[in-house]
Amino acid sequence: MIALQEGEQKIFVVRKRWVAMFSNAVAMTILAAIPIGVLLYGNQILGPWLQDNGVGITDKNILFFSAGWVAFVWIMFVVMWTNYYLDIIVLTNKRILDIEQFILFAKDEVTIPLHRIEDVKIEVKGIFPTLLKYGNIQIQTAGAKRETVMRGIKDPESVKAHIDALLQTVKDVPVPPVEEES
Amino acid sequence: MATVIILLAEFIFFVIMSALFEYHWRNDDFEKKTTIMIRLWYYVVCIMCLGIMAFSL
Repeated sequence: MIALQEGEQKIFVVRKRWVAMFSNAVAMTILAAIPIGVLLYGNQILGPWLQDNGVGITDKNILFFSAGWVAFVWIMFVVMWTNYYLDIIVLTNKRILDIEQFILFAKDEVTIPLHRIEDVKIEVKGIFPTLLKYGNIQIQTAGAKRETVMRGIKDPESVKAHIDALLQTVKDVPVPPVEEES
Repeated sequence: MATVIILLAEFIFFVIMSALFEYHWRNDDFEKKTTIMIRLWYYVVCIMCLGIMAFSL
């Protein structure tokens, strides 16, 4: 759960485009189907040979292992989906929060205060990103780590427009000077 | 006997993963509707698969 600071308001939350998840879904479907196909057709082809060698594969065995395999692949798919869903960018009136989930218990969280943003760049390259409206957003900041890249973001033009509008409001408010230590 | 051990291992795996998912679904920024939908699909598919495994023993 994102803890907001005092006076901070959540403007919007951006997630990655579903395309990022689509390739995983296709891969998982194939992964779930292949062993079931091998078990079903493999039994038809190898069945007589296995029976001759004293190994019997019954329909119940096929059903048992197929169900077990599908359950395993499904759980792996839900892990991937959870990781995808938790990759978010939160834009508030004070900062941008980029949260990237890698596995269930590993994530990367970057906070960019709005007054430190120097430049926002979007990158939409290729046919699919153009047609499906997704791309990368690069945020240049003043500091040690100068650039933050957010990949596969849904509708990057609209996100950039929101950030630009917010930056305009931040520039209108003067940043308090840093007091020097005596 | 081997199939019973496999079923037990799969069930333990399901319980552990469910606990991990529940942790995220309850604590992270999941929309209420999304949480209900993913929970429903996750448990229905898993229980169905485990049920098929148990009945085909």
